[in-house]
Amino acid sequence: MKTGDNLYKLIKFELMFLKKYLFLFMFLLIILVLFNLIIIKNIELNNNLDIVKIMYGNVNKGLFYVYWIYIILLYLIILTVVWRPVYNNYDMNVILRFIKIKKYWNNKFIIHFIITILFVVLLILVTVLISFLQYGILPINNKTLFLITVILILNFILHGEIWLFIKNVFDYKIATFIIFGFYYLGTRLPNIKSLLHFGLYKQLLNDGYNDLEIVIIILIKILFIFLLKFIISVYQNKQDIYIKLL
Amino acid sequence: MDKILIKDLNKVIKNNKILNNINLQLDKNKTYGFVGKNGAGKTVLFKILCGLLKPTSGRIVIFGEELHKDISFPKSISVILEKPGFLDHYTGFDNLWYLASIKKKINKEDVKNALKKVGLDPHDKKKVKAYSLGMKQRLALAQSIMEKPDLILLDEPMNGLDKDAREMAYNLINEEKERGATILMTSHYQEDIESLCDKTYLLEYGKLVNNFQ
Repeated sequence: MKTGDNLYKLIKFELMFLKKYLFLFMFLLIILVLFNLIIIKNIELNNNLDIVKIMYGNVNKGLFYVYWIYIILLYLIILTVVWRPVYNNYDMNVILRFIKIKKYWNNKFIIHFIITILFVVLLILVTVLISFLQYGILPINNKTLFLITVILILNFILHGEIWLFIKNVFDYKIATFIIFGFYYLGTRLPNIKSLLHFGLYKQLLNDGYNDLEIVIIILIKILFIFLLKFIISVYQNKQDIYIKLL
Repeated sequence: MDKILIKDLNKVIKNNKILNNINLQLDKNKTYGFVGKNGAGKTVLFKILCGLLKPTSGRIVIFGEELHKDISFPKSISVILEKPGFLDHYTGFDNLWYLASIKKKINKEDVKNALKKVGLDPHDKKKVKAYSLGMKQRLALAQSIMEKPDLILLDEPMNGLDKDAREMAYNLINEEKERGATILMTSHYQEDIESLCDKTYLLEYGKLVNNFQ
């Protein structure tokens, strides 16, 4: 079986699995839209303000704090679905037909990355569209919007991998707790210079970035993403596939 | 090589020794029964044989290829393990057709034939979520035979089946054996084991007792 074919079939399986939760996802999306409506209604916009920068750069202020908790919850739900344990006969028969377990895990990672990209693009799109409907202005210049989207995607993927690593080694409850711990620390220590925290792209949010700095930040994040993926893959390949045991 | 070899197999999970030094040689084209109390290690043994669990120590060679060395999973295998879970929002045919489309060894007609063999209507538009336990078990049986695998692992295949369905399952298992498949099964029903298996093994606290009478 070719790698591309393999990936396509696994994506198809994930989509078939997700059909069951379609109404739940629609409901979560509606709440996301409502959140955006409430926040955007409460922001005094003038032409110099930039709605995406405000929404995704003010984690530690009032309503934004709650909004970000909601976003993190959404992403954790996505991670839980993508990395769900194999526990019924059908799932087992799917895996057994993929023959090579390394390829299976690689494809799972690709699905994780694709879903994260779609998730962040959806977040940004909802915000952009609602602010446009509300104020009739397209809120941001393209380059900054693109960079914010890219860095958010990389941050989410990094957090997702950390969650997965902790889940594999310990437990998903501990992993979830630690991810929220990171968030809490991030809001309490806004100037922290960590790869995970978007303090590193504060300059970007303040329009004070230079291209080289941003490129270096992005490259370092990508490097860490692949490093973590490698570590997790090595661990996964040594473990039982059937995780939910006894 | 036409044998399944299990050598010095041990499995420890959370400090519990689930399987204790299992040594076994199984021939092709035979049906083997595994009996034992709940928690004796039958299901764990099956999961190790299909590659989903890794042995703590020991080797498993399936028809000439060593598991976790030459291959991740046996190349031609189907299993019924745990509950017969499916994609609930799809029909029985859709469920099986997705599985069949992964390896592309069979076509839609083969899937339909497998469904007919177990007494399910391949054109039934009913979603699996509306199936009874017995229908789900029939669907699982259809899935286990549709690709004509060399190795079939059946953990409690008679669960939820009524008398007629059990007779159907008996015929199906015998047909698969005649075709050349090696079948390993567990059952809580003594008569299933006696009627279907060429040889039976008893597992007690993870240890194998040969030639169970």
